[in-house]
Amino acid sequence: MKHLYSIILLFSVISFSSAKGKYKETNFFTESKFIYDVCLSKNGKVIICTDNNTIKAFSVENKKLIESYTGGHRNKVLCVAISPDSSMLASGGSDSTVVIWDFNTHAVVNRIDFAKGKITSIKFSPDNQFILFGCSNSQAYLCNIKEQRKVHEFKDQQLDVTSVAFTSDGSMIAIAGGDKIIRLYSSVNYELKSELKGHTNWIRTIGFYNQDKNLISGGDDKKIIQWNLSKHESKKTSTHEDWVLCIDFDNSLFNKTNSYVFGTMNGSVIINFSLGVYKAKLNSPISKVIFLPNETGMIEIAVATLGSGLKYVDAVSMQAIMYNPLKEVRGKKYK
Amino acid sequence: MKRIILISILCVLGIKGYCQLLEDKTNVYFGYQNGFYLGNELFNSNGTISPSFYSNLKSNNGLTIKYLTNQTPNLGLGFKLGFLTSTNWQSSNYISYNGSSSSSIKLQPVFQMHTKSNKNGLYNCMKLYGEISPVFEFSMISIRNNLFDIIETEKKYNTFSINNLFYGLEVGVGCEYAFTNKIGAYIDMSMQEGFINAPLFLDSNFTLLGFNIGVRINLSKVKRFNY
Repeated sequence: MKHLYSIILLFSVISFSSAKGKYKETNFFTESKFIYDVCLSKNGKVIICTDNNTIKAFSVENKKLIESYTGGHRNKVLCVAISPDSSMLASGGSDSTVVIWDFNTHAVVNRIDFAKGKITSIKFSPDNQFILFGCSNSQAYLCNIKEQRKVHEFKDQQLDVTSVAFTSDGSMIAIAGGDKIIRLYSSVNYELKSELKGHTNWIRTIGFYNQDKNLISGGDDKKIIQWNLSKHESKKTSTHEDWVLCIDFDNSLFNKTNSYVFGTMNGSVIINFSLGVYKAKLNSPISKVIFLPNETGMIEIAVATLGSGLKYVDAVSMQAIMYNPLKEVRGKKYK
Repeated sequence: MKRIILISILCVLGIKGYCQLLEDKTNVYFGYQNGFYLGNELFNSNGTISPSFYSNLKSNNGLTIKYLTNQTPNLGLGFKLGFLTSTNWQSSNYISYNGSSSSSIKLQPVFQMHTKSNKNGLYNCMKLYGEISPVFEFSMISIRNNLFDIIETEKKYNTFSINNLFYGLEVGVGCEYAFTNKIGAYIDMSMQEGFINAPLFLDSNFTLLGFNIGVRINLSKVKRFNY
């Protein structure tokens, strides 16, 4: 009997220890609680997310639904991207189809359905001419949007492609996934330029930053690695509490301060910037996290979760886990 | 016992679980087992009435370790290692095996059918399951065989030890609840039918009704959890 009471007590301790902290959050109203991807319009006023078989656009300001993009997919949408000029949306899903939408008229512009695997990651080229997407069958494709044709097929990956990226000038393409290698290609001749090896498990997210001099990556080995692309080597590695599923670098606000936010499998959202480290704990794995632009200089983020929907979180109310005089500088502009 | 189980269920259900991607690939379970042997106190063997050995063992406690890998969203395969100690032999009319005990080690291949994890709703954090497993049991039985079945001579006895290897079958139903992606809890009920052939008592089989409670630790997750 004593053993039973001890076990019951243990359950209670586990439960209370996992209770989330208090921080200011607001939910965007979505049909599904499983949001796989989210992106932001060029002016930062519209946030776009996946929601079952549809895409939804919300106002960042009042969190209200602006528009639903429906009828493009037969199965759940897994990834979404907006063109740099905010004229087009691209979405990929479990139905192995990529759909290009007109952002303003919400009409389907093009449908790409030659891929065999599920579409796991999608990006527009900076010149709005091409779309790059990766699939669960280890293939990645570059397509010309206007000409509606496949330009190149990247076949070097051994396992699922989980993340793709363009440099800001569009000269280079990065592809990463389950085979633990980040491959860098020239977007002119599609030649493999470099292979970045350092992760010991699946890579989940990659992104260029610091005027494309660096690349940041995170994965199932719980590591975030910052790479020096001129030397093709890792510059800094940090290890975290669970799989790192997403990272966002804020190039506009914190470019000089090397700041980023990332989300983990166990629901932690951590903002790491020069003034300290802030953490929020949600109940669900974090599929995507992005910085929201804020004119007052306060840090706000949008968090897409697998189970708790899409949330807006005010970073000031998050738990500081390192010295952080953020409240003292609240209101100051970082620009 | 019923009260404890009820309290445990209420405790587990009252705790807010994490939204799960329950298609965990491998899990390990550590549990505590309590139970009792079913059956009559006495049995009649060709006109000879004698007390049952197993049915009168009143205190049965044990520990279990289970390793399970999910092969499909509904099917898990693995094995279970169990340690059970049974003591406190009591019979209202006999003292034949007073002070006897049985310690056993069980190895069981486990076939588990469970509810598929849903993205939302009750089955998001909770999993109901049914298990069936053949049992290979190594039993170390210490029998204090009293020379006379009368109270006055209770202190005159011999102690025999026998080691016995036998087999059986166990079925069980249970419920698993996930607190986080890493840690969960389970509670289940199992019934084991054992077939024995021991020289020092007449029982040829026994039925053990067990109640198990424990924790689940996730060792690895399915990589393609999100598509």
